[in-house]
Amino acid sequence: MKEEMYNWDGGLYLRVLLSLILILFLFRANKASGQEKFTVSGTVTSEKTGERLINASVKVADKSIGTITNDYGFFSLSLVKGNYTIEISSIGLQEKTIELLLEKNFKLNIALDDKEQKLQDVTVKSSMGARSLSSPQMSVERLNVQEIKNIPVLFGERDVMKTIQLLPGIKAASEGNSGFFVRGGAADQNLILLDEAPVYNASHLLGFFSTFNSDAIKDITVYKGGMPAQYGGRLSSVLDIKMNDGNNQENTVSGGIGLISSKLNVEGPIEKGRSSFLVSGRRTYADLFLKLAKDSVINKSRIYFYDLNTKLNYKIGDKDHLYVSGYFGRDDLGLHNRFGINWGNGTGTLRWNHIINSKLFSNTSLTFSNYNFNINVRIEANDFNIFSQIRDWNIKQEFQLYSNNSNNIRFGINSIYHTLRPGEITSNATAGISNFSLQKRYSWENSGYISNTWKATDNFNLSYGLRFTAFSILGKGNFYNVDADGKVVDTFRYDRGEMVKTYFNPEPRIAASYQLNNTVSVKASYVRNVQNLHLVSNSTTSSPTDKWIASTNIIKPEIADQVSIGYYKNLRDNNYELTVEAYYKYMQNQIDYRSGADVYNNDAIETQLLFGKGRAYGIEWLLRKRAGKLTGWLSYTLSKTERKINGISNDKWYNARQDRTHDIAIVSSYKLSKKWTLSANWIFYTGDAVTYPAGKYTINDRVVFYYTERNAYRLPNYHRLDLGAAMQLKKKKWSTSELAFSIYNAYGRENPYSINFRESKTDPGKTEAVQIALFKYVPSISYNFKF
Amino acid sequence: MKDTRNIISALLLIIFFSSCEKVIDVKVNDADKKYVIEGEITDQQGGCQVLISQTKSFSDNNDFAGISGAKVTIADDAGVVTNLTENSSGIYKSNLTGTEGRKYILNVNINGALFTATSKMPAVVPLDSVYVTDLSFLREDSKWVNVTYRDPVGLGNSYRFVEYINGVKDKGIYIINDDLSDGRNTTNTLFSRANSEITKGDTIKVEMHCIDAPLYKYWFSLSQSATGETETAAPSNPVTNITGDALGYFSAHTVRSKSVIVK
Repeated sequence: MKEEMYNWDGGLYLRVLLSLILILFLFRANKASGQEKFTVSGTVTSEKTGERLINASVKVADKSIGTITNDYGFFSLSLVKGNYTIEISSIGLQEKTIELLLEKNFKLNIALDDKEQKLQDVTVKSSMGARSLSSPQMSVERLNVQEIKNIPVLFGERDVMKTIQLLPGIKAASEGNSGFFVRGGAADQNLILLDEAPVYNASHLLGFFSTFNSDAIKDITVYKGGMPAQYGGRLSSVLDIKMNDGNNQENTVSGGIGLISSKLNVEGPIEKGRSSFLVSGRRTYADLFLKLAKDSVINKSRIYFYDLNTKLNYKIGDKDHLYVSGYFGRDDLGLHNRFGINWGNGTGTLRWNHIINSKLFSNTSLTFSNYNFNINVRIEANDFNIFSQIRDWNIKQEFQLYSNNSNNIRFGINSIYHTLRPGEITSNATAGISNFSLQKRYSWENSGYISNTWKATDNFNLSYGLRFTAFSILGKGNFYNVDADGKVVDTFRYDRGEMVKTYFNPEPRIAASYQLNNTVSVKASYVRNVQNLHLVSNSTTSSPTDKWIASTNIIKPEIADQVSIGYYKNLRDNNYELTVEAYYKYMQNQIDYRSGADVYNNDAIETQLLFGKGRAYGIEWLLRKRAGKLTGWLSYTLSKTERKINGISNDKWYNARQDRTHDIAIVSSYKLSKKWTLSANWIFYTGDAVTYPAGKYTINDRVVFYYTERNAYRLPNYHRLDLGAAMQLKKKKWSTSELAFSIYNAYGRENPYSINFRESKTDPGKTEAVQIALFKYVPSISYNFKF
Repeated sequence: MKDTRNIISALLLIIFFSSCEKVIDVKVNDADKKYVIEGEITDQQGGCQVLISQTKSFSDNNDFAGISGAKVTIADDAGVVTNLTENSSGIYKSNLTGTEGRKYILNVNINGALFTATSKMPAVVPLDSVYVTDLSFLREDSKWVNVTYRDPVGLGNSYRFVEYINGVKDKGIYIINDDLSDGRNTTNTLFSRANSEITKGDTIKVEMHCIDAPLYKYWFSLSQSATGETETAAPSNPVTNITGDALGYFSAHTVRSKSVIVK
């Protein structure tokens, strides 16, 4: 793609776009007239738990009229006066049929039965999202927590973040790591939302575990492209995680005991059918075993994390529903009493659903999100503490207008106030370190969006929208002008609340689908995303001390444009799904370190950074088997990811670290009998792009290395096999339980975690390359129960 | 703070996970050879020397032959130019002794290829004490060397510490500046030590070098990204103060040292 494309006249571009959208909306409004219509609207829930069902299908039998429920289980259908048979279905639940004489607006609240209890056979219907052929939404994957239950994982700790890494286009940041790269994006370019609140560091223990306790989670949706207009703020993907609401029919207790951690989940009605609560907790206890170690270094260390998820929801009358949800998690690591670090996220969400009328649904959200870390050091005379934090207050108002069956309009506004505290040191009087504070940074991010999903014909669907973001950088603080060598040439001082700069960015979103026949459709989309918060890290593993920075006068908003096309086919009676998607993504204002950058003690962080661009393209194949005893999928991605940063690799395009040419995952689960389920995964990918020395020399009698090109070499290819087995224990009237076994890396492949270069220990006259591998044959066993 | 990631990684690897290490063969393409210049002038007798060598291919042995026949001079900001003479192959010396506060300019001519660098010798800051403590938190019963000094008021002081164990120079790189410790009595524990253990009876000598800011940057970037060890940053060449496309550095620094016997 030519670069000139991106030097369009911004004003013209915007005007054309706005006119286009206006025309489309006006055109739709004019067309909506004719026969007298009534609306049937309501919510779809699970009979057993009272949980509101997302993406449940509500359709008119024998007609191509239908809709799906929104994130809160609400739907609305407009129909001409008459008799109808309405079919309501949701994956894994029994379909319900309602006969209806429609002569006025009708309220229809439906509860669907659990399928499992009724059917005695062992047929497994995969709950992984039945893909919609007609919806223009592409590049999206939905996972149900039930689906990931049988996938064998490291330490037996089920993890949504590790499961999505098995899907095409989504790659693990490194061995056993919950961080991920989507379509060539960096790990910080994923918007991770937990009940709408952004989670800034979604990993525990350097990424070996994610912050999401799967017991508390209802639904996971990941968008790799074609993001709907209501999402914004990150370049590469949206990972939208929704917590369970809590069972409002009966009290349930479930939990699990594993090698690394135990968890407990309690939920139940406060007032049956109207309100419920959920409390879910998890804690690791590997540190308790450390105490048994003989080595005093180990037995005096601490290492653990815990998570707590809570949620309350209350239905106020027929039209209003309140939800309060919260997450709190913390890691704690310590070495004797000399060095300690603890870090964690806290999020809170208050939401109010209001049904204004049968066609207009409103949701108001107030969210809070916080991430911080603390480091304590007590070595000799040095006794000090380092603190850093990022905090958001966020208010969002959204409306969904079901204007008629062909148009579903969504619009809203969002305002976020960010406070970043990059680093503060407090020390005692005798310490060699003084009290010190990096400047706090304040910013205010406002956005508005509107989109419409338009069913143009029975075969053709179009979704178009615009998101508009205004990112304002606020004082108080010093801002800088930096020259090409990274030297500060000017300093500007701003007072509290004073506006430093505002970046305005339109983000158009367009997607279309065309259904060729009952089993085949093609889709295409274009999306622009803008990111104003950036994580400065040039390591692949996530560290709690990785630093978030906001855009400044020098650090420009990152911008990504992505086009994708896709082909979708359902085979063999919908038992198999084939998806092929291709994408091209162009990224501007990408950030990297200068050589020898020190990002920790520097107020003018711009002096330590370099800027450039990135491009990524690839093809993704996914073949999924959704029904039968054997379920699972096969995914293959062929891709390329490059960057071009002024000042690195002679300003030429070079492979990004996450560039992996081939990436294959085979995920399978086999229901052997009522008692046993077996599972296996096999993963293969091209080794990461890494920098190897092009020579060596000595400095002060020590051998050091000379480098020329960035990331010109490859780690050896990565592959491994994981096996799992789950045994259903005897079902009692009031309880179920199972034992799960797994083995990670079953054939003991030594996959390189890193490769170091050093003077040989056996022959000091030589230099050698040393590979470090983690995790060979890691077995685990866990016991899960529910009553 | 830059060490936090290392400490955490080490802790996780030691305690939590079984990692395995093995020597592997890697094929690397060799780049064109580059000159390496290591120039120093100190405030001590015999501290003026310039070493000139070349990069080698990764698979070669670690004997680095010097480059002979270069013309090497050091000038000061008063205009006094001193010629350095080649003592042995690639080692150029002079009995020039530097003065604090003075700026020095290195000029090297290797068969017509010109290289130049400037370094200012900072004011001397005394090394107050060197002592050894037991700090069993990274390894059991491990002993570490501490240094204390008083940083003068005013930002811009940088230091490098070099540890000698029974007369053998340790290969660890320890540098610190006063960004966070301006004007304070400072204690630093030299966790950079590359040699595994020091034991009772060992003689430890620590040299304290007061270096200028570009040299701090040089040592910092070298230790972060060019030592071949577990990356704290993407591998790259250190930020040198030599112009003319050579590797290495030119440092004018003061040297103070103290010794201690491990008890």
